[in-house]
Parts: sequence; C-alpha cells; structure tokens
Amino acid sequence: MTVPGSATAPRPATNRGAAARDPVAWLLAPAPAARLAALRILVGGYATVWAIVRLPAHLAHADQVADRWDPVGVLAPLSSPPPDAGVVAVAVAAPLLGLLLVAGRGFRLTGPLCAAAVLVLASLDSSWGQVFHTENLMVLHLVILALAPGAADALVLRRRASGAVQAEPAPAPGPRYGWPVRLAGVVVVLTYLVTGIAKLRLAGAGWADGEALRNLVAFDNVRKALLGDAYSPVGTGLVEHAWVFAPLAVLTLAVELGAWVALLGGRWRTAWVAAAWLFHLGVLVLMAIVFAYPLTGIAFAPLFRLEVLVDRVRGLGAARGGRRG
Amino acid sequence: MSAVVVAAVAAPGVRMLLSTGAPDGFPLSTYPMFTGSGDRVVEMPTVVAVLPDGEVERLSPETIAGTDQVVQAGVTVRRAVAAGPPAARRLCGRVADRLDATATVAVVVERHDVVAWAAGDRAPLERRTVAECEAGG
Repeated sequence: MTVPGSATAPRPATNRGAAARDPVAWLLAPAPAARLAALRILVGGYATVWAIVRLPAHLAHADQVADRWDPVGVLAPLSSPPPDAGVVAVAVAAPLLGLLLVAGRGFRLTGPLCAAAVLVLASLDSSWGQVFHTENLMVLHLVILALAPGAADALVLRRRASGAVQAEPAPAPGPRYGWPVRLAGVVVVLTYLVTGIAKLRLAGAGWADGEALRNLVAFDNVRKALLGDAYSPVGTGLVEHAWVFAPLAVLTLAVELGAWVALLGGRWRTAWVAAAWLFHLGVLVLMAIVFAYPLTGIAFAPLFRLEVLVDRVRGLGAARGGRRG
Repeated sequence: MSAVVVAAVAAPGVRMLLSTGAPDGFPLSTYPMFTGSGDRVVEMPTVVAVLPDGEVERLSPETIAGTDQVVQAGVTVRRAVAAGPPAARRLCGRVADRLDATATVAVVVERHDVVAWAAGDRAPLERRTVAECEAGG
C-alpha cells in the first residue's frame, strides 16, 4: 500500500548477492529516512519497555553483596560494584531516555545517552557471575543507532505552537539512512554465526547427534527446579524421547551457521528469519528461556524494508481518518 | 565505522576459532550457550530449607542470592561451596536472613541423573551438606 507522502523508495531491480559482490556499495546504497527512523522507534521502543520491566531488578543491583561482583564489558575495570546512587540514577534514566529516543527528541544527545544507559544496565545484569546472551543484539543495535545521526531525520514528534503533536515530513533518501540499518542486519547475522562456531569449536561436530542437547535441556530444567525457578514441563517430558534431539541439534546448527543467507534478501531472508524465530520459540518451550528481542521480531527488523511498515501504518491511519471524515 | 563494528562483533568468533579458551564478554560475546559437556550425571550445589517435619523445600533465586536470575543464583552457591566451609556458612546465614519461615537452611551439593530426573525420578543420587544454619522466620 502506498499513500501520499510515501516513505517507500523505488525497489532496486535485484540486490541478490549484492552484499557479497560489493559490500561497501551495498552498505552505502541510499535508503529512505523512514527505514532508519522506523528502526529507531522499534529498537528504542523495545529498550524502553525492557528498562521499565527490568527496573525492579536493576534497582535491586544496589542491594547486592559485593563478593558476588564479577564485572564484564564496560564495567570490567571496576573492582567493586558501582555506587548505589549511580545504579539507581541509570536505572531510572534509561526508560526516560528511551522514550525521548523513540520520539526522536534531542537525538544527538538522547541517542548516545540511551545507548550508554542500556549498555551499562545490561552489563550490570551480567556482572554477578553469569554473562547473559539475551540482550546483546538490542544493545548492539542501540549503539549503531546512537552512531547514526540521521536516525531522527524522520518520524520525529514535535510540538507545534498550537500544542498539537505532529510528525515531520521525511527528507529525501540517502546513504546516511541505509548503512546503519544494513550494519544492524549484518550484526544480526554475525551473532548467529559466532554462536554456531562456538558450538562446533567448544562441543565439536558431535553436538549434532543430539545427545549433548538432550542432556543440556534436561540439565537446564533440573537446575531451574533445584533452584526454585519455573522449568519447562514440555522440555522435561521430551527428554524421554531421545530421537527428537538429533534433528533439533542439526536444525539449530543450520539456523546459526546458515544465518548469512539472510543477507541475500527476499525469500532466503524471510525463510531464515522464520527458522530463527522458530528456534527461539523452541528454546522457550523446551527450556523456559525467553529471548524476547528475537521473539518479538524486532531483532530481525533491520533485515527488512521497514519503510513499507511505515507506509502501512500511515495507510491505516489515513483510512481511519477518511472513515471519520 | 561500519568496519569497526563488524570487526568488533566478529572478533570473539575469530578468537574462539584460534583458542577455545577465549573469554566471554558483553555485548561482544563468544555466545557459548548450550556448548557444555552435556553430561547425564551432574553435581548441582543449591540451598534448601529443611522444615521441622523433615520435608525439604526448594528456595527461590531471590531467597538464595537476592536475584531473579536462576543461573546467577546457581553460580553464587557454586562459588561459595568451592571457596570452602566459611564461605558456605556466610551464604547460609544470608539465606536464613531472607527466609520468612522457621527451618534449617542447608547449603548442599546434590548429584542427579538429569535424564532420570526428567522421567520422574526426582530423588538425588546423593546429597552432601556443606553448611547448615537456623532461620527463625
């Protein structure tokens, strides 16, 4: 659907394999401002909700005993936990900065500040003895957005003198709106590739026979039960059916090591995204582990022409406005 | 700038190709999830409450380690057990302070056959008590 003032750029005849043929030209190809702005809203919106939902847990870091401190990432240089007041300030600021980022207000300041706050909070979550892998992509995407000043050139809410809130018209397509989104897509692919490499390197090709996966699913659920947490009755029940785990292991490796096909675009991309989403659904069902960022689909958003989504939303709004009129 | 980001995200994978000892980090990670040995019989340290009638009650990650993250609670117990009885007793005392019940708090190491557990055999193959203390409720 296209509406007046459409954000959609003309679709190139074909870009199949363009990323491999000439990666620089592919990366720097022009894109509509709405594509990058839509990514800003999706990723920023997710980060805002994450910061609100996790606020109690983030505030609880201030009460942790110091001997559990095992810092990672940007917090690695700290020999002891950050001061309680600092933890509370960042935890409270993050959702507010997220809202400003979504609105596109003061982006040159709020974009980097929001990315920094979420980076610190997610690092803090992982600095007590166990590194989590559920928020990596969100943080990496926020950092990329923070480095892209064009992210707030479109779909910015501004208050007019009349008091009405209105979105500004989008500028012409350009390279500055394309590379951050494509880079975010490449990062998606890389994280899955590295995950697949880790399995082959650390567990060996034998991981594909399913035995290790079966025991890991069983172990994860037993651990949750022994430590008083909710575990998956489906995963626990499936452990008795050993034959299931070989195909699951092969499919897992196929999704991870085959992630590069997402950069081909079109049906290859869509099929891979569907497979990756089903993989995370399987992890949720079998192990009660929630990878919320990919499960919401937002992790995969950079792989799509998001301006189409913007047009559809605008089209729906226009249709509703027309009916009222 | 894009090349720097791509290199940074890919670097942990390249490091792991060169050495399996490459450390994990955040947000630049080696993503070592689900790469454990996958042993069927495992030792799992945990903290339980033994009620006056002898019943063993499982405690939440919040009670064990003041966190909502089960894996971090497990790591906390594992490290306390590995550090020796004084550290295990300190952990026991902290858990007892958080517990809102009259019970004996026990830091234990349980051995389980995880596949048998999934099939319904929930009793540990072995339970070794490392530290005990009283919670007053």
